[in-house]
Amino acid sequence: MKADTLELYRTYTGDETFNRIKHYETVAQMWEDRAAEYADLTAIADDGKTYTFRQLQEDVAHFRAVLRESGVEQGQRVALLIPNSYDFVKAYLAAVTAGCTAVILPAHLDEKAVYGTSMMFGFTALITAPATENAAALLRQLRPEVTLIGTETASEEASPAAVCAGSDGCTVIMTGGTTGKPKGALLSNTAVLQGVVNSCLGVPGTFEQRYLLVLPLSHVFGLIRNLLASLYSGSTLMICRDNKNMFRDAAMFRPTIMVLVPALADMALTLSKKFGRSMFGDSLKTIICGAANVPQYLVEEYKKAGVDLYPGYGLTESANLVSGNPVPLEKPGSVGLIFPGMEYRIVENELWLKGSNMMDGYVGAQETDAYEDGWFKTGDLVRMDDDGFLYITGRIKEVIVLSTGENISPAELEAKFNDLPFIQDSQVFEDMDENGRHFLSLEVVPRATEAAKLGADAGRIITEALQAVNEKLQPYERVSKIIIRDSDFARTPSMKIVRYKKCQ
Amino acid sequence: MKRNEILDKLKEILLSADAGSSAVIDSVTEDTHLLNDLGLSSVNMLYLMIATEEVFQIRFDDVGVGEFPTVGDVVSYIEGKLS
Repeated sequence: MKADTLELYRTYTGDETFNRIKHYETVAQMWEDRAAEYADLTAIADDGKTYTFRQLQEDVAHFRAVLRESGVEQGQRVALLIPNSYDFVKAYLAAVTAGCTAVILPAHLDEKAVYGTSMMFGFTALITAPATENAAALLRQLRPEVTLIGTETASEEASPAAVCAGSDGCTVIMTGGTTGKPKGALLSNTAVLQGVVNSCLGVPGTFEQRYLLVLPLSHVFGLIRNLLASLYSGSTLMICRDNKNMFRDAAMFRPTIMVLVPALADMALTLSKKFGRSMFGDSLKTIICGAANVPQYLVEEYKKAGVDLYPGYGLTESANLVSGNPVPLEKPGSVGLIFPGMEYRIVENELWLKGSNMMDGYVGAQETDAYEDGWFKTGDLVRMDDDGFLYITGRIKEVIVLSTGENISPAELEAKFNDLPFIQDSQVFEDMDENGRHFLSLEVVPRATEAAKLGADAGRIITEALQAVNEKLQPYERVSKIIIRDSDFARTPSMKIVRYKKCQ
Repeated sequence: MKRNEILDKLKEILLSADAGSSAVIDSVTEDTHLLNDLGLSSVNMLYLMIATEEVFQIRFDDVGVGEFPTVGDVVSYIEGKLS
């Protein structure tokens, strides 16, 4: 069924905003058009400096020349390993408007991971910032054919944007998909731009705003809903380089709109109450909230403070937003109306999708059961009310979505614990304490023969070894509780572990 | 400010950071491990730092979130800044 929600969205968005929404075929067209329209407005504020749309356009043109002088050709994949910064914006726009596919790597990747992604995604060039240059060392050594380009490289030439098609590749964003195995979602120019247009629907007064960026640009929510929506709408994006400074940045910049994961929205609310002032400043009018379940109390509490918080639902595979809730007080708990033109089916309560914003498939690894009859199976269980509002009721995919929006792949973490010789099997799962707080837990089944060799101290040795593995994980991946079982896990008929679903 | 006074103020912050029930926070000592014992998420840690800056009027300008294994490490940092 095709979502017939255009007129509803026109009403919720308001004619003034709705009539300013334009459609483009490629990011290059969008960028050139918007940069001309908003030339004298400030596009980016970063590290104490501001850049107008005109300055950014010029810097992008010069960096396109850098790419071309480095041998990068249209149609190739170019990876970005750059923390949130003006240089990220410049390099990203240069790559995609040069007709390349930008492969966005999380800036915290280490050198082994960077090398691994080069094998996985087959990029021909990697753009690094001074802060990430060292992470390219192994790649430089083992794959000298990959061109390394620093963001500080300059060219006196300015190179024009490439002519490309909407169906051409634009961006690869890393995702765990439904199984959690790392891979990339390949998004075309059309998909990315549809994601940007969807961003503007249902939110009155989207244009010429002030955004404060606190989400990573390697995440689809940060890249599309925050950066590209800001550029598209002639808004100013202030880049917060370190989240512990976000409220100092907010006090100075006075954002009118924020794109947040629920955990950050919740944290700001708690701090605002504790210190008796609005931590994001009094100019804030709108919060776009998603990437994890949005508790209704956030909608209600922010409304009391005069801020409209709009919950939404999206996936990396759908170039961000699939639906948004323009009336969260009238439709509590809903992630909203599916955006106009998207096709959807609800099969045994699972949401299946088609549409111009959907990816062209995974790269780097495949998921054989991601599609059925051309439909992308989201792995999310939903229901829809009589007015077409969507509610997420659970998920069948293995990946755990933390309230911070970070995705945890239990299988990936379990493989690391299972590498210990005395661990036979393990299970990482989302657990909940008596206060309803969610955290990650680990249960392991020791390998009896190996554990026996450890003698009377087996429990302590195993626990310490597991903790040592835990300490090496990314902070958000670490488990807070470890249980050593004395019996095997419950298993399915095909001997797979029956996964705990304590928080669903 | 004495270490035990800093610790008491930190406990108040931890409670509002949703780091556990009042019974859990009451039992917090300088040896309490922020991750293993309290299960602080990255956002809880961020909250802890921002609220600590506000309460103690200091700045965590040379350290990142997650660089403090224990409550005592945070107390020491604050003590150093206040002196």
